[in-house]
This record gives sequence, C-alpha cells and structure tokens, in this order.
Amino acid sequence: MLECKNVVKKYIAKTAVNGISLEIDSGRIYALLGPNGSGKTTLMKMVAGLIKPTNGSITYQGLPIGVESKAAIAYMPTETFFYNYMTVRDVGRYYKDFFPDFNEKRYEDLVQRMDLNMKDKAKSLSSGLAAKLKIAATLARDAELYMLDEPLNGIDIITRENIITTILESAKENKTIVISSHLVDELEKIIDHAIFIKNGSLELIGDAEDLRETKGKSIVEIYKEIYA
Amino acid sequence: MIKLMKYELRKQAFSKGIILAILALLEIVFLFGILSSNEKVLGLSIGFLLLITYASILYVAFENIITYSNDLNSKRSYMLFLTPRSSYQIVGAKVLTAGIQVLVTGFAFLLVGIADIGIVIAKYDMLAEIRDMIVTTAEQIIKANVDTKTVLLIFLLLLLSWISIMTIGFFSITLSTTFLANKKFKGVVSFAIFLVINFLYSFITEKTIGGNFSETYIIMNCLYTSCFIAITYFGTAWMLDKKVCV
Repeated sequence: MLECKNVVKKYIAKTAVNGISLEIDSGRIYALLGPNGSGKTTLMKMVAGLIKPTNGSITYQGLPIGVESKAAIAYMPTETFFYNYMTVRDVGRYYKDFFPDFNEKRYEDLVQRMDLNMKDKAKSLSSGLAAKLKIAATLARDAELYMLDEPLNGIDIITRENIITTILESAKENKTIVISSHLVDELEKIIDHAIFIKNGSLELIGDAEDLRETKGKSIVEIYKEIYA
Repeated sequence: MIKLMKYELRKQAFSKGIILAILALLEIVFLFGILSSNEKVLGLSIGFLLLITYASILYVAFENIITYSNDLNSKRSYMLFLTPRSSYQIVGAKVLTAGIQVLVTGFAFLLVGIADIGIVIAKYDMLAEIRDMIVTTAEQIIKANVDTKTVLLIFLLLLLSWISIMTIGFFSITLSTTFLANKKFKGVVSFAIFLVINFLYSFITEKTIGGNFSETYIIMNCLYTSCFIAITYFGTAWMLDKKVCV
C-alpha cells in the first residue's frame, strides 16, 4: 500500500534520509527502529506530506503523497502541535471537520480512557497528557494507515500499557500501523515487522518472527547488535 | 475551504475581541463626554477613536501575515498541513479571510464614525456649520460628476491593495522558507523580499500606467493589483506544494 523508492532527504549540512526503498503492506504492525537522528521522523514526515523528498518517490496506493493520501493516513507527530486556544473538545471538533474518517464517539471514549477532560486547554496539558491527547485524536480516525512517531515518549509505564492496548484495538485486518520508538522492548511483543534505520539508510527489514529465527535473537538484541 | 476559513477566523478571534473591547470602552467614554458635556473627555475620546481606527485596520491586515508566518514556522503548521486540503485551498482560505476581515473592520469603523459624527453634530449647534460644509462638499462632488461607480472603484482598489500587501507577505515568507528553513534571520530576509516585491510592483505600475489619477487609471490599477494578487497567490501555493517542508 505504501512504497518508498530510493527516497533521499538532504539538508544543507546533512543527509537525513539516504536512499531508502521499502514497501509497507496492509494489515500489519511495523516497528520503525533506530536511535535519535537516524532518519525515522524525517521518513515518517515525508510519508505524511510534511517534508518533500530531495530525490526518489513515495506513493500511497499507487498515487503520490498528496490530498488523497492525507485523507487515508493518520500521522501522529512526536511534537505537540495543537493551536493554543484549543481545548480537548476543540481538537475533536477540528479533526471531525477535516477528516471524514474521524469517529467522534471513539474520540470521547479514548479521551475518557486517557483521563483527559474535554474542557482542558491543550496547551496547558503536561507532556504526558499532551501525548495522550495526540494518541486519542489520531486513533479516533478510522484510517487505513496509522503512523505513530514515538507514541510512548514521556508516558508512564501504566499509561504505556493502556496506549499499547488501544493501538492493538486499532489493528484490524485492513489497518496498518507503523510505530517508531526507542522503547524496543515495549514493541517487541506486538509487532509483525521490524525496520531498522541507521544513519539515514535502511539497515535491516523483515518479518519479526523470521528475523528472530534467522538471527537467533530477539528484536531487542538485534537492535543492540546494530546500534551498539 | 469554508472550514479552513472558520479556523482562520477562530485563530484570530482573540485580537478581534480586544479591538472590540477597546472600541466599546472608547464609545462609552465618548458618550459620557456627550452626555456630561465634558468637552475635554469628548475630545480625548474622539482622538483615541481615530487612533484605534487606523491602528485596528493596520493590525487586522498585518495579523494575517503574522499568523501565516506562525503557521509556517512553528509546529502548529501540522494542524494545517496534515489536513487533506491542497495548498491552494489553504492559501486561498487565508487570502479570503484576510480580505473579509479588512472589509468588515473598515466598514464597522466607518459606521461607528458616521454615527459618532451624527451624535456630535446633533449635540453641538455650532457644529452645524461643519455639517453644512460636509453637505456642500458632497453636493459639489456630485455636481462634478464623481459618480457612484468611481467611488466604488476607489473602494475596490483600496481593498485589492490591502489584499495584495497580504499576498506579497505570504509569498515573501514562503519564499524565504524554501531556502532558509529554520534560520534565525529568516524574518529579516522575508521582510527584505516583501519590500523588494512592493518596490517592483510600484515601479512597474508607475512606468506602465503612470500616476495620472483618472477612472481609467483606477481600473488599470485594479487589474494590475488583481494580477499581482493572482501571481503571488499561485506562487505561494505552488511553493508550499512543491518546495516547503514544515
């Protein structure tokens, strides 16, 4: 469903993504792994249409990234990005106005589950609560592809489990989830595929079970082997 | 597009509330001056009302440019650029919202001004001379065949000029973003580009249609300004679509 062909993103002083080619298939959970600065976020932002590749092509369902792909892909950035005036309720209304796949009822459920209050101002939320709000808004969409950039960052261990459960609920047959995280051990048990990125290049990609069998190691151990 | 415009207006609602509150306060002071026949208070309130009128119209126009800059250069940009809307719709919504705001603000202050002048003239008989002078001037204008069409054209030119300032602002900010990314001096570069484009626009207009104020000049100027708005609008949207990373 998503195809990256020799994607390059260069800035003046550095190359953030260096010729990545990969395919993301429908109905799977992918972990996008790599240390800080490896190019995970840049790659995700290119797929979300926020960053333009310097070279190469990205297509979603055969079409270049654009209005159609934005309607089908639910991207959750790592940063907090809501307008200052917005309350938790306003965020839901905004998503409802722009994303036809947004489910208001599910948003209300997620807000409740994440211990958020509809009347709270988004800008005054703690980093943990702000992360929960991003998760709630993103997962309330009935998207074909979810891309979650560091969804577990700054979140306590109890809430992490809560979020992982919520993510798994969203994982249905026709849904694809790509999660980037440093917390590899948290993802180990839920992913179908692993993508390892190092210095902007694709280091290793494969079915998680196959990788474990081939290497005789867990994903966490493979991660350590690649990046240590 | 309507939804984008709704959120553009919502983003700038706070400042409009402040302007309205200041206007209401000054109107109360003005009415107090009228009712208490306190000429000092009245004079002061009229002075401040004139000041707030100019300042508000200027602020409303430039707030749109500031909002655009913030939308492009902060993480808030994701709110706009993650939505399934084309950059042409996004910029279009901003331009239309800006135009509507300038129009509504200008019209609102004009109405308040007319009402206040009426109240002052009604209160002070000695100002009847001023009223007569205004009426005479208006009659002379009518006699001089300054028809409604010309007046409307002047208003149209004023509105288009304001909109062009905003689209040039959008264009300058977007252009600097394409090659300066998140550099600190980007704001200065944007302002320099803004000044250069404005100078070029004035230069081209001056050299081609001259400065002889006539109906033809106003029509030509409207056409030039409309073309300039179109060029800067499409240029901005194209750069956002193809070149800008947020």
